[in-house]
Amino acid sequence: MTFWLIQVLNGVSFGMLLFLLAAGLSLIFGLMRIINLAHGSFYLLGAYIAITVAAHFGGFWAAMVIAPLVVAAFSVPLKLLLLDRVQHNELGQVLMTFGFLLMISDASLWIWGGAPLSLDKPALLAGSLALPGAVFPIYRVAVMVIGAIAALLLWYFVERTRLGAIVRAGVDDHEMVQGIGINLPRVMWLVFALGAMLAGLAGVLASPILGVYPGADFAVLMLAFAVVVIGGLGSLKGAFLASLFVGLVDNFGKALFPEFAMFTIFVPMAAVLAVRPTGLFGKA
Amino acid sequence: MKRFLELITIPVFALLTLLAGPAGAQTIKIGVIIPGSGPFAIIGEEVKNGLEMYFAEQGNAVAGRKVELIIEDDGNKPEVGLAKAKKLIERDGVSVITGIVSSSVAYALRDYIAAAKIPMVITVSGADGLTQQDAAPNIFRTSASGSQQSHVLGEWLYKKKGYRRMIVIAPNYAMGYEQTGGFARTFKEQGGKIVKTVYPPLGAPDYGPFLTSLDLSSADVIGVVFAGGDAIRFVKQYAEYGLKGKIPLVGSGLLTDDMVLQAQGDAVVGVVTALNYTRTLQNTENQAFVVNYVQRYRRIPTAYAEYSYVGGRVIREGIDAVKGKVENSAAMVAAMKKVNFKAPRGQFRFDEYNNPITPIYILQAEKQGSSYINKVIDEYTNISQFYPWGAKAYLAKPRYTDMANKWID
Repeated sequence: MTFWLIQVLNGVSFGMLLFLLAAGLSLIFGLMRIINLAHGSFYLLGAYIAITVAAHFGGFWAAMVIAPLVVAAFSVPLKLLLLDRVQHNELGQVLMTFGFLLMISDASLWIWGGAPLSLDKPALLAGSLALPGAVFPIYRVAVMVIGAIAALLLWYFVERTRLGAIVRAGVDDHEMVQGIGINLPRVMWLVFALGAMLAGLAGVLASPILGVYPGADFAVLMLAFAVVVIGGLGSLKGAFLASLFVGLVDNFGKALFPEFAMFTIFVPMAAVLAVRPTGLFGKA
Repeated sequence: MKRFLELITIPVFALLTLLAGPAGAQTIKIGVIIPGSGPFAIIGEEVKNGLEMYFAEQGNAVAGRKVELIIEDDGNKPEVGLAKAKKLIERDGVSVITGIVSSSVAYALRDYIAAAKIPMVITVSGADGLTQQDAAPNIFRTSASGSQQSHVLGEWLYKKKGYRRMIVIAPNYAMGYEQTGGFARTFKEQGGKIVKTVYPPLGAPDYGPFLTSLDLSSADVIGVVFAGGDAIRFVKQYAEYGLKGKIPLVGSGLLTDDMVLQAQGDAVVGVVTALNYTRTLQNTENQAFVVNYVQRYRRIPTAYAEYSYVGGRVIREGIDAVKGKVENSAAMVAAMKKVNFKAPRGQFRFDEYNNPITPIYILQAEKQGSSYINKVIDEYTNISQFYPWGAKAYLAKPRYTDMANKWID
């Protein structure tokens, strides 16, 4: 019984991290039709910047607030100055984001070095919960809570605010929104920055558990894409459900069939693609 | 303007290629192939540092000739490694190839180097086969074969700690199978039992599911190998999920080496490993080595730096033996085979397959003030890759990569 409980808790906490990553990616694609390969870089930078902030300015909480904001700020010139130059050229945009991915990866290696690093958990969350017959880290519970709060805030933003309505309309029908006179480009860089911030936040939250190292950007990018493909590009609901699904399937897969652990994320992705190519809730 | 540029490019390039040509026929060139990006970049840097420091200490000259290191990045890709090796040997005219971190790159080079007959001194890659079934007379290794350090650990765990049942966890590729296979084999031969083997994928972000699926009452010890970021994650998660304190954790030296030790935090205290080097070794060579390294590079040396420093020494002895006439590869190789000196890790020499025979240390991680060290708690001397069976008996046994799922009776 406790075995199943632990696996579910693990799966959900991992799923929440995936959600933070995938939500931004999904929105960016839905609205801007940009396949943002640099999303992994935002995760990486979030983690590295958090570690630097924590080392110099006092701990986990400061890092958790500051690092995502720094990543978001960093993403804005990337969008306005560089990505906008290849605005209607989708292939060009993909190539450019790939270029960002490679450059940021190398720059991070230069700045933070190649040794794997990790953020220390805050003292408040450092312990473990004693469950009947097992032990579960409190920090992972916190990740679930923070992920759920972020999901709620995002939902509120998208469903209940004017700006969110514009985003939804833009995802549904780009031309129409511009046709009725709404300044979509201004909304787009905001969404890009929001997506980058979420990815940065995922990086911060993940770093005490998963650590950060050269290559982490590529690794999480694969996971984020798997989630977004399953959930459907452009759909937050899809991203949320698919993240939980992938988190749980991956977790149970690893616990029950460790030799097939590589398959557990990509088999559902392949299955969904075969049956519903736009993803479960996709609007692409 | 455009026409002018077109006209001028060819003569400029011609001039450049002439200038780039054999820069002084007197310089001995050593090709260093290491990863410059990705998760192994840090190891590549340690290799470069170890080699550079050794030759700098010789004044960058051996046997009256200047020595130059030519560094190439293999990006951890076998085909790139091979292309760089060809470039180094055929275009740059290097007399020795060294470095080599990734085992897949090592294997990609093996046939080409064996045919070229130029000495290759592998300073990191541990793939067993390179100094066993796939050995070649001109291929040397200064680190250790993957299973070499583990053999003594399996024996030590049974005899000195009294463990009888073990769970084995390792990433599911050759390094994982060889490093854990070594102690699984000797543990079983002493009379122990392997009760479970788990092989998560390399780089798994979360070991939670694997750790929480274990039945702790079925075993006395968990024996693992993980390296780099995986090692940090695994050790931390072992503590987070409450296994620390309930079952001891042991493993190959990579698990707690100086590269990852500080990042593992309190979770690592008490973990026992076996490795051929740790920076706290108390001998004159090591003390000098550590002090010089810290002075030059402002950080503590890891085992990879020591392996490469020793590699530099082996190469130098080869060059000295031929009095600088490095064109005589065969004589260099013959001289390198016979080296016998005090390295920072202890007495160093090669076996008949060009793999090191050195001490192996049993280490236990401890907290010292606010940082962590690996304390030597036991030592085995003159250990070769074939201990305790000898070359013939060992090579007759199945390879560890084939044994991975066969340890459980």
